[in-house]
Amino acid sequence: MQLPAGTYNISYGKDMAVVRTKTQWGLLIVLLICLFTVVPLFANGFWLSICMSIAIGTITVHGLNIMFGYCGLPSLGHFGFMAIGAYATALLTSNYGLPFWLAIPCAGIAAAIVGGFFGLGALRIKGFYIAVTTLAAQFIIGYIIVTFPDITGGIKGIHLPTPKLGSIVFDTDKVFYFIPMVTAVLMTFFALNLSRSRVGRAFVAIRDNDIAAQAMGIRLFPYKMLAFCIGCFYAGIAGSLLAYQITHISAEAFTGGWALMESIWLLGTLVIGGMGSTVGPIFGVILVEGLRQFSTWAGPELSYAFPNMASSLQAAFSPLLFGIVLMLFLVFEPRGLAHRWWLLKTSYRLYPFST
Amino acid sequence: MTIFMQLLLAGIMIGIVYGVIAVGFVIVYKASGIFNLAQGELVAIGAFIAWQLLNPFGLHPVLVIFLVLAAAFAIGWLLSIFPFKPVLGQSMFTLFTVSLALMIFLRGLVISIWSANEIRYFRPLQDDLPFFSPAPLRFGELAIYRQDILGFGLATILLLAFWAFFKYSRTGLAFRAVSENSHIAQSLGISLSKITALALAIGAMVAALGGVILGLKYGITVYVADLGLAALAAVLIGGLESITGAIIGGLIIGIVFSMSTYYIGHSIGDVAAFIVMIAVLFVRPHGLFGQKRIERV
Repeated sequence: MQLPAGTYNISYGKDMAVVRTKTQWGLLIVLLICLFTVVPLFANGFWLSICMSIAIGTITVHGLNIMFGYCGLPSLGHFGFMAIGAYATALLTSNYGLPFWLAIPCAGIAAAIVGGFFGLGALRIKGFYIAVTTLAAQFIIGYIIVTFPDITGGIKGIHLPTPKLGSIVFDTDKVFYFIPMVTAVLMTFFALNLSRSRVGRAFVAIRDNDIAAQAMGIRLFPYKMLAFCIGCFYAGIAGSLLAYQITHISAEAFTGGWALMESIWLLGTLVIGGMGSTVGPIFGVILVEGLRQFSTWAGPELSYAFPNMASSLQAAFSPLLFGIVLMLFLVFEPRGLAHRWWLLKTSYRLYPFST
Repeated sequence: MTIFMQLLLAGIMIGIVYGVIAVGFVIVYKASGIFNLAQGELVAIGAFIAWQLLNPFGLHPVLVIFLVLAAAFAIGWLLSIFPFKPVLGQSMFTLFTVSLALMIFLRGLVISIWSANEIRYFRPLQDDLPFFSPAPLRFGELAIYRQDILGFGLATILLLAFWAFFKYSRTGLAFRAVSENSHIAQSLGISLSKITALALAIGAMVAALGGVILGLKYGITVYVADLGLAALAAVLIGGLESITGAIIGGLIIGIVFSMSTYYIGHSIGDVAAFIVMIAVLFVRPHGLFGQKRIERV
C-alpha cells in the first residue's frame, strides 16, 4: 500500500499501525466525536433511526464479510442467524432478566453455536453446497420459530424490556443510539484487526485455494469452523441489537420468504460495498440504506404517476431498484465501492502525478 | 398401508415436478457454470403468465401451455443477454451473485405486475378439456387427482423430450461437449454464448412448466418461487452435475414432502426437504450422483 508522502516506517510497530499519520489520527477523532456527540445532539428521530440501522447493518455485513469475503464461505442464511440472536436476547432478558450488556454477547454466542452446527459440514462441502446449506439453515430456523410458539411467542411475539445501565435508561432513540453505535465501532475495529492477523491471513489463503492452503499447513476444519462461528457471532450481535431497536419481535419478521430476501439483500450489500475489505461493508450498508430510504420516498410518488398499479408498485420498487443496482455493480465494478475508494485514495496521494 | 401407498403416490406425482425444476437448475449449471437461483422466480413467472393467458385472456389450455413455453424461452434468452452475458467467464461466485440480483429484481417485477398478497387459481379446466373433471380417479383404494396426472404427464413428456434432445441432436451434442470442457468445446467452434443462452432458455422453459403444475396444485402466489427453491434441495441431493440425480432427488423430495406433511405437520413441507438434504450432504458431500472432482492447485 502506498503511504502518504514523507511517512516512513522506522519500526515494526509503525509498519503495523492502523492509524499512521497525525492527519489520520485527527480525522479518526473527528469522526468519533461526530458519531458520539454531534449526531445524537443534533439529529432528529428520522436520522437517528437511519444511523442505527446503518450501525446494525454494518455489524451483520462485517460478519458476512468475514465468512464470504475473507474465507469464501457464502451464507444465504445470515438473516436466520440474526433471528437466533434476536430470540436469544428476547428470551434471556424477558425470562431471566439478564442486563443488556450481558445479553448481547450471549446472543452472539448462541448464534455462533447454531451457525457452527450448520457449518459442521463445511469441511466436506464446498461453494454452492454451503450456500444452499445455510439457505436450508434459514428455513429450518424459521420453522422452529413458528412451530414452538410456547417458547418463541409465535406470531404474538416477545416484548423486550428496556435496557438499563445503572441509572441510565435507554428508552429513547437519543440514548439508545449509543448501544448499536458503540458496538458497531468496536466490531469494526475487531474485524479490521482480524483481517490483519494470523487467522485473517489463513482465511484469505483458504478462500483463494483451500488445497494450497492445506498444503501450506493451514488446518482447514478449525479455520473454516472459526470463520463460520465468527460470522454468525456478528450476525447474532446484530440480531440482538435489532431486537432492542424494534423492542418487539415476532415470528412474522423473521420467517418465510421475507427472511430469505433479507439474507440476499445482505449478501448484495456486501458485494456492492466490496468483499474482502473492512471499509467495504460500511460503504455498502450506507449506500443500500440510502436506496431503501429513496425507494420508500419514491414508491408513493411513483404510485401517483401510475395509479392503476399503485399498491403493488410501492412494495416492489425497492427490490426492483436494488436488483438493478446490484447487477450494474457486478457488471461494472465487481470489486465494489471499497475498490473505488482505494482508487480515489491512491490518486489523491499521488496528486498531481496521478492519472 | 393404504395411507402409506397413497402418500407415496402423491409424493411421486409432486416429486416429478420438483425433479423437472431441478433438471432446469442442472442444465443451466452444466452448460454455463451459472448456479441460477433466479430459477425459483422463473417458476413463479411461468405460473403467472399461464394465469394471465388462461383467466383474463381466456385462451384454450393446450394453447396456453405452448405459449407459456415460448414466453419462457424468450425470457431465458433475454436473461442471457443481460445480465449474464457481460459477466460470463468470471468466477462462479460472481455468476452466482448476479443470479441473486436477478432473483431480487424478478421478484420485484412479479410483485409490481401481479401484486404480492393475492392467491390466484386457474379457472376450472373441464370446460375446455372434458376429461378434466374435478373428481379423482380411483384405482382400488388409491385415488389420483386428474391435475396430478396432467402434471406428471407433462413433466415426463418434457423430460423425455430433453433426453432425446441431448442424446440425438447436434446442439445437444454441443451441450454435452461444453459441459465436459468448455475451453476445448470453444476451440472446436462451439459458440459458448449461444449454448449459454440456449441453456438459460431451456432452464426457463422447464421452470415455467414446473410453475404451471405447482400453480394447478397450490394456487398461484409469489411464494410459488419459494416452492421452486425447494427444488434446490433436490439438486443437491442428486448432485450438482447429474440430471438423473436431479430427477431422483426430486422424487425423494416429493416423497419426503408428502410423508412429512402427513405424519409430522402441515408446515414442515419444504423444511423437511432441506433437512433431508443436509443429512445427505453430511454423508455424501457431492450428493448421491455428483462427481467428486479431483482438484489441482
